[in-house]
Amino acid sequence: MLVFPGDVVKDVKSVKGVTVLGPGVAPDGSTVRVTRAGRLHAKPPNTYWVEHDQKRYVPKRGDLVVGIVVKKSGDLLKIDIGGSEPASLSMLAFEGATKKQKPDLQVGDLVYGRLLNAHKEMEPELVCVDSYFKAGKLGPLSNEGFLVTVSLGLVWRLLEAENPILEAVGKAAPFEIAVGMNGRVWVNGRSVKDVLNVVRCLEVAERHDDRTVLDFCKQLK
Amino acid sequence: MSKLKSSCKLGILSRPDGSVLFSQDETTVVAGVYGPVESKANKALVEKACVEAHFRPKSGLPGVKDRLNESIIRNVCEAAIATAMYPRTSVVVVIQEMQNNGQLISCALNAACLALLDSGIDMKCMFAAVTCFIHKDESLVFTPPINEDQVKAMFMFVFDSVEKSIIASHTDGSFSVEQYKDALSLCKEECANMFDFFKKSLTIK
Amino acid sequence: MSKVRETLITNCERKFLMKCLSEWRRLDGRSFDEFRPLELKFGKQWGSCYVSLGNTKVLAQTSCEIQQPKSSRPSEGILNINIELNPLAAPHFEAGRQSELSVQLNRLLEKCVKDSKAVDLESLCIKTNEKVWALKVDINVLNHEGNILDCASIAMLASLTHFRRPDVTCDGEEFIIHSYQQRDPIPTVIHHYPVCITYAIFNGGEYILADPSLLEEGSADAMLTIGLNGFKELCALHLGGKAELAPSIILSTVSKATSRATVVIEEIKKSVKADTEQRQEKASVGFHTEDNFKTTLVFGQSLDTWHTNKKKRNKKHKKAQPQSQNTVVIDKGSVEHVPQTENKKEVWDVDNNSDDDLIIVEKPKVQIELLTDSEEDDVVILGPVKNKK
Repeated sequence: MLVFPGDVVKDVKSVKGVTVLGPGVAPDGSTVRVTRAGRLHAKPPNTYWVEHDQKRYVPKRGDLVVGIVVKKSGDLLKIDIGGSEPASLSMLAFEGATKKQKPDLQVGDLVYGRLLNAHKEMEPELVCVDSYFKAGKLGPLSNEGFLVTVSLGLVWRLLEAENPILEAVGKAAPFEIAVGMNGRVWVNGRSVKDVLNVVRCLEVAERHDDRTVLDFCKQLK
Repeated sequence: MSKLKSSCKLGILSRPDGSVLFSQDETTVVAGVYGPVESKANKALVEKACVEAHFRPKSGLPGVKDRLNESIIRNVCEAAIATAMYPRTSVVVVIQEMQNNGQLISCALNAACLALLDSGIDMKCMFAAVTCFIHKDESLVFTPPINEDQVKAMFMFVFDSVEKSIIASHTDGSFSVEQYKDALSLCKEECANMFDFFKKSLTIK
Repeated sequence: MSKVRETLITNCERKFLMKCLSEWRRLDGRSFDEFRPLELKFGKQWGSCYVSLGNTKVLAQTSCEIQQPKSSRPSEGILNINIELNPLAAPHFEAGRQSELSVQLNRLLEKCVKDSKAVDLESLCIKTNEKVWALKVDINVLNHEGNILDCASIAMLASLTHFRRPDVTCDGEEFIIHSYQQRDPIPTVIHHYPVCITYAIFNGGEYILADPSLLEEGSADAMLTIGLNGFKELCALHLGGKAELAPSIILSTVSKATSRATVVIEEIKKSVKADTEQRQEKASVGFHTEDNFKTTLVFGQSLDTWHTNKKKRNKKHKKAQPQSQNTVVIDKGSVEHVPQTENKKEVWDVDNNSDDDLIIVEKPKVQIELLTDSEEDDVVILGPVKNKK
């Protein structure tokens, strides 16, 4: 259902007095109002949010993002994550990093990290390790691939567990991908052609539905 | 009394976060929104977002009139955007005039609203602007007369979508209180059409 | 004013771009000599023109006023060009402030149009030493996706061609400016149409790309701008950046640009003519008209365009390759065979399988790689795999 800013969400359910409001809905006194134009989603029992295909990223805690190193100052890196201000990333927040042994990152390199902290009043903070100091899939991204910027709506689509796009693209040619919640997608493949094919599929996915993308992927083989 | 023809095309520019090509009657503008983006240290507000408006005329440097338009756009947008949700940031609204046929300010404001909706920035409400004119023969119309000298007065009202109440009013020329009230009620009716139009165009997108 | 930095071009984008170029590909599927689609639209007012070159969009408006001529040239009108980098176009552009880029663009446009005397300034004179028309072209950049200059120069020319100034008569002492309704307005006399054509230069002239996109522009060694008119005369030449170019490369690029200039000038003349005809038929013209708002989104490029692009690329590929000096013979040899097989395939495959095209493009490359000391094992391994498919 399409809703618009200022609309009141009726029959808001709560569990033990708690209602979870996601992006696009905000409390206004005793009512709940929509703040974005888009589709209203509700997840029982008490979660509500509005989906809107936007381009600008607003940092959120726990998001996995692809960032660009814009500045190096001592042990601290400034990472552009597409939000309103650059995030800070400590050189020590990589797996196995010590004061003496630090990752080799230059300005313009890419990192895949998790937002440890993203409060609107504060500078966002990025880390490349989990709570056990293991990197997992996080860390610097190789300079071999290519970076594409897509809309946030497409990111959500790609990350849906049952979404067939990435699988279909992978049938045409193997590739490696890091999808950032900030709309930045890093792609790498065995050859330039493979990478270009993935990039093209993403471009098609940006403006067409899944079915069309799948047809397009079939043509790539 | 004829209703105005409006048309819009969302997302026409690839760089801004939200953009629209909007025309009302023959007046056409392009609007784009960037936000929330980093704001300059001297502009940043601690408790809310700083709204900036730029209005570009299509020829010449921005003059006094354009600055006035800019401040109207800025004030209206600031009222509508949920600025408290984005402290220490800027929201930049840019309007480019393409074609002017009289109702430039209301057209710019409507375009700004559509661009904001397209960008997905949090807003407290939508807003719509309507302009109407009083001819020399005292008739009240939406379409501006071909000859500018025929206009006795011009009204521009902005309404919000929640309360349907007036949030800005701008007038030019001389008129009586009665005429002002007539114009206000006329524009209020028309603004409902504008909101319908906004909703329709976003649904198509 | 907001403080938004220009987005950095990442190392991986730069590296990948170079890798693509080494395989004679461009990121958007164009061939090296291919330009993005050009579109011109006119506003209701005379001299108002909106041009889009791919996703780069520019609005130009010509206006006129009566001024006193410069004392050094008492019988010539004045032409002013002003390019404005609107904050719409990119977040780091600041409103009302001149930046290095805007000054450079302005100067280049002046060089191309003003210094080549494209506009007949003497016809703008009303009375020597007293009154002349001053034309002003305001160019607003709406969306910056690379190559603003080409787009702006096309917009400026179209706007000047489209523009009509009011007629002026003199009854001894008084000058009367007639409104558009009273007397037919007068078009500006334009001697020739100089357009700017920009090429991005990589690796000291090894790769020369026409109409560079934002990424290509940002990572190029140098930018070569060529101002050309319809008579194949050079009106401006500018090489920005640092690249050691052999004169022969510049000459060959200029000769390539001439054909493009003819196409662009034809397009400008054609659109202005079409618009004028519409006006004569009293059809409604302007930015507000229906066809500007057709539900087709700007990004609504249909899937098929990819296919056609690819085919175009194959055909133009032949032209593109001989330009690199090292591999002329090899390229010619290997590429000559390709179009034949390709054509055959196209004839048989009525379904238009684009992937066939793709593989065929691949073949010569593999050969080239093998012959010229291939460094990338990947390509050699992958080539046959693809062919099997």
